Amino acid sequence: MGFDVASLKVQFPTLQRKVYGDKPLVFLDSAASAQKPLAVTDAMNDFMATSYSNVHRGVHALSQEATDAFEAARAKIAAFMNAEERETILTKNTTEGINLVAQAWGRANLQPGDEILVTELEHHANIVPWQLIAAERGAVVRPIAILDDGALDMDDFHAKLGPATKMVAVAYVSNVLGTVLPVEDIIDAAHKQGALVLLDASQAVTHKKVDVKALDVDFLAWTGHKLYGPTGIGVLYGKYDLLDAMPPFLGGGDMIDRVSFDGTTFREPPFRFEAGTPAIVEAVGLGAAVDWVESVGIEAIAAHEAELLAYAMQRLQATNDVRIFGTAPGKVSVLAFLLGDHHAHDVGTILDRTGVALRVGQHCAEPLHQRLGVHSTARASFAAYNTREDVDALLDGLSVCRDLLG
Amino acid sequence: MDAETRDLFESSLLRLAKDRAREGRLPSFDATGSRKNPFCGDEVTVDLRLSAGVLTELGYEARACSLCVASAELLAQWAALGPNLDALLAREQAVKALLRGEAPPPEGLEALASVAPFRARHKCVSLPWEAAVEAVRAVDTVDTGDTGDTVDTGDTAETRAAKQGQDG
Repeated sequence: MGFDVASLKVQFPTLQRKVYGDKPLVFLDSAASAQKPLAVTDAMNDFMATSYSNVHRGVHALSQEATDAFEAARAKIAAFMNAEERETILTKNTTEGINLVAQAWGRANLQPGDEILVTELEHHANIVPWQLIAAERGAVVRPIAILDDGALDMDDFHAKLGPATKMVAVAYVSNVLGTVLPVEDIIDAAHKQGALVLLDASQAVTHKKVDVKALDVDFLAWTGHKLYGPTGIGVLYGKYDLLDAMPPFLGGGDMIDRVSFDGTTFREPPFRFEAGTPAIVEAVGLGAAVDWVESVGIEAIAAHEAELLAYAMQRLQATNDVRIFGTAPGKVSVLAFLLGDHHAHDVGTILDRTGVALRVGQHCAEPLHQRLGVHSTARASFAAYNTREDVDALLDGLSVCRDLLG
Repeated sequence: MDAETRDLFESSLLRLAKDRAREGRLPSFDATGSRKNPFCGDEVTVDLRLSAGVLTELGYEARACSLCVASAELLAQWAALGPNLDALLAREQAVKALLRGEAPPPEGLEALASVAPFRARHKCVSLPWEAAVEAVRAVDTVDTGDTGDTVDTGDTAETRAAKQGQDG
């Protein structure tokens, strides 16, 4: 049996609604944040309604139930990326995970003159945290160039990777171009040079199986809300020995061993990096999202999305007035484009009124847009619940744009 | 397509944006201001020439969407009437009130009323006016011309640097 998108789509109440009166919603903005299946919202509602309590320190029944639910979610999330639970830190989002590494690892390890390699295609979340710690430690952030098709310039990577490189922090998948970076080669080369690697996997976990052990990656950050889970919950994987050698990021309750005015000691990972009451309900929700994704199958989702991407690319390329950004082989279903010389915001506003929701602007990737030589782009992204009819609606909407914008 | 969207994109705004008749930086100016929308990257720079607190010339440059360029054109059109700086500050507030639906459009800005239903686009329209206000604030001494004193032109580090860039 093929991929039954209709039976998936009915699990997402938001996708059943209309906008602007009678326009069926066509949601092509999942790269920003995916819609949530009932399995996720039901799990969160049930937990809040029947088992909610704070976790970890209570002796009463509810606290134990809540702790069990929270730690069970951590176990699912860890297994999803083939990590150990003690290596799986629950954060607020990808941004917090990267800041955690930049601050906790960077403050302890970066020296003046050390280099951090990023790429031209990074989301700001994988640039700015490194700039902040680099400024504090006297280190340098160097961008690796990309090629015109959106692939990483591996010659430039190898040219810039050197003894001064202490961290290579790169996207696994570009949030604008859909490019899948050759992370296995990057990790291998970085390790040979003695550098660590952090992957921003926000756009990767939604489109492909991510296995931290197979990758041998040092740190990997992602967020729940793009994986059909709730906002406010993210994940940072780190190799245990690295995490264990790192000082805390934030201080407070739950992350301490002993506290006294003579000095405080800290718990072991992952708790050392989870100060304060965690996002308990959101963790339960992300656990449910992982279950949902695994029940559908990430490979099946990826194959469906690849088919949609190919269809969308073929239809857009046939128009002759749509310029697509990111054509590297193997790209995932994130599709940035411009219609003629029209500003992406004007196109996005009109598409919105036809019911098609996509994102316009710089997508938190200003240096990438400078590299592309464009001001902004429109970005359509396809998830498990999208259909060929959604692609057709996008093309119909673009016809309306041509009509109105001239 | 719904009436609001047709009103917006079939209004005079799109024509203004296509023509960009008044766009261009001034070769020299007394004050300049720039504003950027970090979400879309749109950027507008507005240059002012002043005499005794009155706007004598306004130039602008916009890397922006059609609504932002149209709004900048309307700003430049109005500036040609020679308003004083207080009037400029007041008009920026009037544009924002119009977008919020709290006030009718000031004379000459009727076309901007079609943007009001599109909340996500309000910033596009206000950006040039905010740049103009920033330019006003860059003027060290704002005098509306009552005494005939001249406006201090370009004594801030920002305007000096901008002028050097322009004149160089």
